[in-house]
Amino acid sequence: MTMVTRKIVPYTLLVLLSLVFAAPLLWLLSTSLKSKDQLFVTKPLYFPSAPRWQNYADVFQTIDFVRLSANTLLVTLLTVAGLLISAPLVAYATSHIEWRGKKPLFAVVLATLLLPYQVTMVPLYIVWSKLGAIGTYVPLVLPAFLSAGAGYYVFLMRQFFMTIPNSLVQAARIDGASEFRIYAQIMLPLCKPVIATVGVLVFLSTWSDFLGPLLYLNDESTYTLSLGLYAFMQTHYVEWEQLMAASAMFTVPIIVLFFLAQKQFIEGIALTGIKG
Amino acid sequence: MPPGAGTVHRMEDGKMRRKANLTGLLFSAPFILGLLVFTLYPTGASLVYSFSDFNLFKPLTWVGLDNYKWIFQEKEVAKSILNTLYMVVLATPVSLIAGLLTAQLLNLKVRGQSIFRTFFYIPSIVPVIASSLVWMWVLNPKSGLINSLLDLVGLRGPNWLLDAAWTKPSLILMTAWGSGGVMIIFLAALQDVPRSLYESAEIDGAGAVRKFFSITLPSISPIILFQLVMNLIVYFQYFAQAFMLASLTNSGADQTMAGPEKSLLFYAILLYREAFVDFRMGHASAMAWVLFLITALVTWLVFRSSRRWVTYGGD
Amino acid sequence: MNKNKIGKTALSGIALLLTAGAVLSGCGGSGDGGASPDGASGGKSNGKKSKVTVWYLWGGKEGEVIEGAIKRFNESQDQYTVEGLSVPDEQKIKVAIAGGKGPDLTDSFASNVAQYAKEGIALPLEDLIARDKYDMSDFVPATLEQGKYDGKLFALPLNINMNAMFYNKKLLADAGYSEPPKTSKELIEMAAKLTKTNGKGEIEILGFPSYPGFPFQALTYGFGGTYLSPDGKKATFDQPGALEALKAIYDYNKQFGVDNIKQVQATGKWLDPTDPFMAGKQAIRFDGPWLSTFMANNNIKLDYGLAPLPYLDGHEDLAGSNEAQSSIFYIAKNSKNVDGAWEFLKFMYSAPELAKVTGGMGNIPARTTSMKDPVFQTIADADKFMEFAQNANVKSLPNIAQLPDLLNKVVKEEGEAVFNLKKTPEEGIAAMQKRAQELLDK
Repeated sequence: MTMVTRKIVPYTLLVLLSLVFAAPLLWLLSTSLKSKDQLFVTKPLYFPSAPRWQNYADVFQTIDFVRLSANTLLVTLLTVAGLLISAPLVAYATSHIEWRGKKPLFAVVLATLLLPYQVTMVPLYIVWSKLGAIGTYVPLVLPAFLSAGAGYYVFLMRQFFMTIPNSLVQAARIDGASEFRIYAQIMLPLCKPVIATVGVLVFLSTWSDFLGPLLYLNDESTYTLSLGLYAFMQTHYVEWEQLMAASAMFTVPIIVLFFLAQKQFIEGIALTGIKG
Repeated sequence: MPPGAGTVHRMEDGKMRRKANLTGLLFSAPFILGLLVFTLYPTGASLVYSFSDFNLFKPLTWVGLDNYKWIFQEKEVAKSILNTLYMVVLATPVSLIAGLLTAQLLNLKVRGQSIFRTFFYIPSIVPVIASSLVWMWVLNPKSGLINSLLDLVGLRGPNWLLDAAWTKPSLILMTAWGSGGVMIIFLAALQDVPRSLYESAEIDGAGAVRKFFSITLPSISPIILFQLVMNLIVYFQYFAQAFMLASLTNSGADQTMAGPEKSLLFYAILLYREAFVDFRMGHASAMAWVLFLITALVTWLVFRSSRRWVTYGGD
Repeated sequence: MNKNKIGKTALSGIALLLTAGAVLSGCGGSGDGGASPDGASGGKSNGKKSKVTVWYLWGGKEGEVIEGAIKRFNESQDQYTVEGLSVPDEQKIKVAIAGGKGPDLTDSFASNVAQYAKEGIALPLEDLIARDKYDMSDFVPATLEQGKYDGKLFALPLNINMNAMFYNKKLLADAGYSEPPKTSKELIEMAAKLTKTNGKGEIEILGFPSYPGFPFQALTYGFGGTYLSPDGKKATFDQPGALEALKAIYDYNKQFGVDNIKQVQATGKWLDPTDPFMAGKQAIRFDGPWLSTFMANNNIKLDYGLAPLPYLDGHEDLAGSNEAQSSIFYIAKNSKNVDGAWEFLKFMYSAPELAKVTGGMGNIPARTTSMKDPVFQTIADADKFMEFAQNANVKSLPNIAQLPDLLNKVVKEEGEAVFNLKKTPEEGIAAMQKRAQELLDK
């Protein structure tokens, strides 16, 4: 009996909770397949008997969904690349190089976590506007190449780097390997899990970022999906069912990404050793 | 200390140290450059702005403490602080507790574990624009999912996002739904708790509840502290979700972005409005600095209190 | 490294960060940020077409109408190329102008003109008008006032936006009425009788014009009241119009329940087939000419009538009272092609073009010559709205810089408190009057 309850109780709980968590998204799907006159039907769990797939096709007529997706992908990939190039460098410098700045710099990394982005928002906007960069992707992407505002990711990486025994690095140094070789050929391969995890985290947050594009993009041809959908909503004649279909298409890629990366993703965090 | 350091000559030692300093600097160079340009300069500049009247169109004039005085006098600031504190005080524990409980469930070895994990995690990665949209519909007073379910059992649900008394509870509900980010870190932490601890407790005849309180919680308390601090920061800066919900009304955009009876006017929203709607950059900068100081203070208090409740194993 | 150490490290890091930040901004700081108004040059040069960017808030079909005018302008001359862009977010446009990456010409609402003029976003048009001896004699005077701030013209009014009373003839007939309400008293009585509720108190037919929002402003002006004196120096909420308007809303909300009314406000989408009026679930509605156009364009078969807003009971002299607002176009102060923007503005505002643009959107043009254009004979209800617009009792809010604060803060906050039955109409009016006057005296 205990065996049975021990299995069944959590299982039922899991299934029920999964339903609760999935319900809003199922609602999104069902709305995206409704026709206009079914939108305000007041029946819960109502799923249109004749799903209107045309809504999805219509999205491509109403907004330039392909371009929005391409823009979003471009910004996201550049940001991920920028961060994955710059963040491991400083993570290495604050974990395995014995230099004067090792500790103070790490302290600064932690401090930046506490600095609200609102503090830098206005002056940065002014700097970018003086440089004539408003309306381009530069303000969105360039900071990533310098790990700016990425304290959290640097921190995650550094904690992981700390778990790699220093003796490995020392041995290579004694063998006369250059510091960059040690970094590229010993450290990075060992740290793949955290690099993957941070890559996925950055991908997810950039893909959905709203405030950055809201501040810096103003030409519809450069809009990302978040901003494009927001603009779509702001216009008067919102086609709700299309907006739902567009949102579904916006969300699906990241669900797929998470599902594929899931195992490694959780391992990456498990190994990040925040307790360190 | 490198092995054999003692045998190396002093000169050699100094040279190596200099070399290490140079290497460290080189590796940190991109980060330091980014720090100077994108963090330190703007932080300093915003401090300057916070003492001036400045609107992007006209030259800056020095106004001393006027902007800070405004913060303490303006009713909307007070309202936004109260709203923000509501979220900080309620949403933080809700997302931590929801995250921890779901992590506990998902840590059980059951069939289909990875599918369940995906279900629980997805809401936290749904783009804000999509989740706001969905919740606007789920919470629709008449045709929404929740109220039409309540209607089935003869209950009349509240007007959620249209009723000042229910707007913030709606946000808390969304917070619990989107607690996957917290959950996944807890899940990782739970997997790090040594099995041997549980096994020896089982030998002592401990039940699930006692195991949770006497082993799980203490073992992951550093992670709880970490998540607590990160979430406090998130809710002090709470913006995107409320911004969407407050500016999406049935008849087009609402420029005040404040929601019914200003119940959705959060600190970060007011700050954004001062900066980019009304172009009162001085007000916005002063607000940003006050936020920074509050964040730092609260973090410091949390760390001070943590000595009493965080236990470190193996240190 | 343990957590506590992380905490201490972080805090010492802050100290480090602050010191460095202070030093840095000391040498680099104090940006003046003024976007230099070097606009007035540019334009006519060496035979190459110069670019003019025009952003507009409209989207969809209305956006296409603007694009049509742009296309015709580009074909009509070879000096400028106008590039149009639909940017439906006004904040975005302002922010872009501030960032020096904004449009040369863009649109907004008249209520923003004073603020934009004061903040230095909009360019005064006096010099251009004087240079070209631009004739503005046929603009409806009240609308032209809407483009002015401090006596100077900063924007040109495009249209006359006005509400009128739409009513569902069938719903009125069902309740035994053959005529729409003419006075405030009739409106209040009829609204209550027209409202149908179900057993749970939920509203099935909304009798009062509380959709899409609470109609405080329309009722006030319809009842012959105003928010401000014509010179913008005195608050006038303490006149009968505003109080009666607020009372009407308060009493209706009290009788049928705020929750029930808000529930209706959340159903359907304004200007959409799901809109309660179009769905036959709202008996009386205050809205503008776009509602007629939408129903005509979308083939919505609804037997409705159109009448002036009801006037304050016992004051027949106030019949036809209303408030006119305008959409306006203004040239950005930091425009790099002021001449090009001005040329396009003149083109779009020429009588036939203005008729095409406003007619295409189902709006009433701000110029009387354009009103005579045959296009308006084919536009649903255009004749009625033009007639309402020319009533002598139509007023406008004066352009003062405090207007956005007055509307978004004072009126919205106090109005909300009364709609939600948290204040009585008398308390609400007293608070509006007091706070508005304080704002004006600043």
